Amino acid sequence: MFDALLHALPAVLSFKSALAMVVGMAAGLVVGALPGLTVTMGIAVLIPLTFGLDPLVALGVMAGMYNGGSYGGAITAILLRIPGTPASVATVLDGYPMAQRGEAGHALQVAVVSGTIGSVISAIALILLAPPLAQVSLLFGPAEYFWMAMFGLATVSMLLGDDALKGLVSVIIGLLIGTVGQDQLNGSERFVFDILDLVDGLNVVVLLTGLYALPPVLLMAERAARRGMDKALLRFDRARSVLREWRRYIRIWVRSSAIGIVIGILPGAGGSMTSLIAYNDAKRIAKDPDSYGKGNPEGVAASECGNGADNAASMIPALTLAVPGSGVAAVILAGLLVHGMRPGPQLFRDNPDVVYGFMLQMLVTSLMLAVMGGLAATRLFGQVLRLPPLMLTPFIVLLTVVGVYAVNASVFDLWAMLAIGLLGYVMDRLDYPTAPAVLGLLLGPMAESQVRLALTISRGDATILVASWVSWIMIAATLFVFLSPVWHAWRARAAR
Amino acid sequence: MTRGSAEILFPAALLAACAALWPHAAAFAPDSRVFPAVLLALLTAMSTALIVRAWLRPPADAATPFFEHFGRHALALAAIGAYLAVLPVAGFFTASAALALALPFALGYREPARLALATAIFLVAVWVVFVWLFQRPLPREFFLAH
Repeated sequence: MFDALLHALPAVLSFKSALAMVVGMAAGLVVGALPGLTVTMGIAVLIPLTFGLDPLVALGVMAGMYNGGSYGGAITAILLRIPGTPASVATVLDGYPMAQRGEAGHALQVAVVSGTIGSVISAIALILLAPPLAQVSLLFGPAEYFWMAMFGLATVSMLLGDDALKGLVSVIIGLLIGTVGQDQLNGSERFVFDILDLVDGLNVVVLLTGLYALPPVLLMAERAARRGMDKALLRFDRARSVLREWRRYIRIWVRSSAIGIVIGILPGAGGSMTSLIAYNDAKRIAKDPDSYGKGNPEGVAASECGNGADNAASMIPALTLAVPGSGVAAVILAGLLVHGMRPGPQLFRDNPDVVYGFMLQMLVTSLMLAVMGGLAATRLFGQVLRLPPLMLTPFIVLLTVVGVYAVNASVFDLWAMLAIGLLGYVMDRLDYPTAPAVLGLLLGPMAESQVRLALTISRGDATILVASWVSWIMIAATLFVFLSPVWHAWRARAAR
Repeated sequence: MTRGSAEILFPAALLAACAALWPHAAAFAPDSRVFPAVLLALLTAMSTALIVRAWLRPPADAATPFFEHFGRHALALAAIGAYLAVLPVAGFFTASAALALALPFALGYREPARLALATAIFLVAVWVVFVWLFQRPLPREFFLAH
């Protein structure tokens, strides 16, 4: 393996490969930051443009776009409360309150440093552990995926807000929205009401922008503030360098990276779930968990580190077993096929230079993120906050409208976004956490289809759901999460 | 409307939505019915619990107004609604320019030159990224329709 890495290194550091990574990362930052544009779409658009290029140059663009796009979502999440990607939802929770109290520069710095650390650790895991870690994903069948979805939903609904009941209501709202459209297993329609636009269900971008972007727009209009943020507040504060405060963050970075890598290698599980579980884990072990959700930089660090750690890890089953761990990994696999390479064990045998070169590119682009992400975020995107909120109000509406319309070219989606925006406004004002609703929409269809698939395989025998030790671990973890508020209440009472 | 009354009205609205959706869920195919039916039952139970809790133990800030400024809230909502209605007819850039200029003005912003410049820069950036680079479809301008 080390011979192959050393052999690939000169090609990775060549001028063409370096340029490809820079271009990919710049495009990824833009694509990740804008709702409606996804890294998957960006790479899909790029693939035809990479015909005729050296495979490693083409993969350099994709690696740059993947890592850049993963962080790009945090920029608008922190500055405007628009999560560019579902994985940025957890970043909104503390990043936006930090920006509101004039710490936007610091929040972006925490995000970029944490994202870089997560991405680097994940890339090292990809290089060193790819073959053995891929075996973990083979332990998961439909029943295990169902319990994993239950664990994710329980974690987010019980631990995210201050009120578990409101968290559960939020997750059920998301799960119900997830049932709209055709049933994945038998094609029958649910809650469609003869509206053609609902047959395919509601796109997650509609829910994301509605729940997160419109409520602050309405609040900005109500407050009608005429002064923008002071330029000085957007600068990186050298006195509060994240690296100087490394002792505060090191435990979060290690735990969030581990969470990101473990969840990232499970096909279909990564993305938003990784960052939210990393966020909840950091909140659970924090000395002051009540400060989470009110602008605690540790929340931003956990979310972005978990998100970054998911990236390269999701490529592990893709490269070793040809099973993509995410939509982006699937498109990158398509890119490999376009360049005449077949993912799977034979890839390591037939094209070691390319596969190890790509792993190195994931590592190099992770490191580049610290420079390009930091500069782009503060020098370019951060300036948006200098506009008076009154002027910013319609621009956020326009950005969400163009993002939602870009997905399906549907005016109906825009009205759905407005309706969900009003729902989000009410939930915000009444302190219902909205992230569980997003995760409910994402994981609900997976949970339902996996449990029905398991029951179909077992011909209706429900014991298949508890037949493996992996299922039992997931069940125990879910029960632990459900009982943890009771445990905390009991401890608090005992302490009094 | 106060925060205290909203704490009761919102779960009550969820209860009403559950009641309205229940007959639809009951009519789904047997395999497709179970999951939404379970969700509706859970939401009904939890909404009821929230109403009872808010009734018996109102929040500390129950008397505070729900909206910070209802007039401006309604104005912004009406402007966004009008924008969405006009969008397919007038085209994205025409309708967006109108909203970007009119909404801040209606809310009290009085620097038209700065507003016009920012609007132009924003719309050009949208055109470059979404239309030129990624070729995403946007509602066609009314003057280009024929």
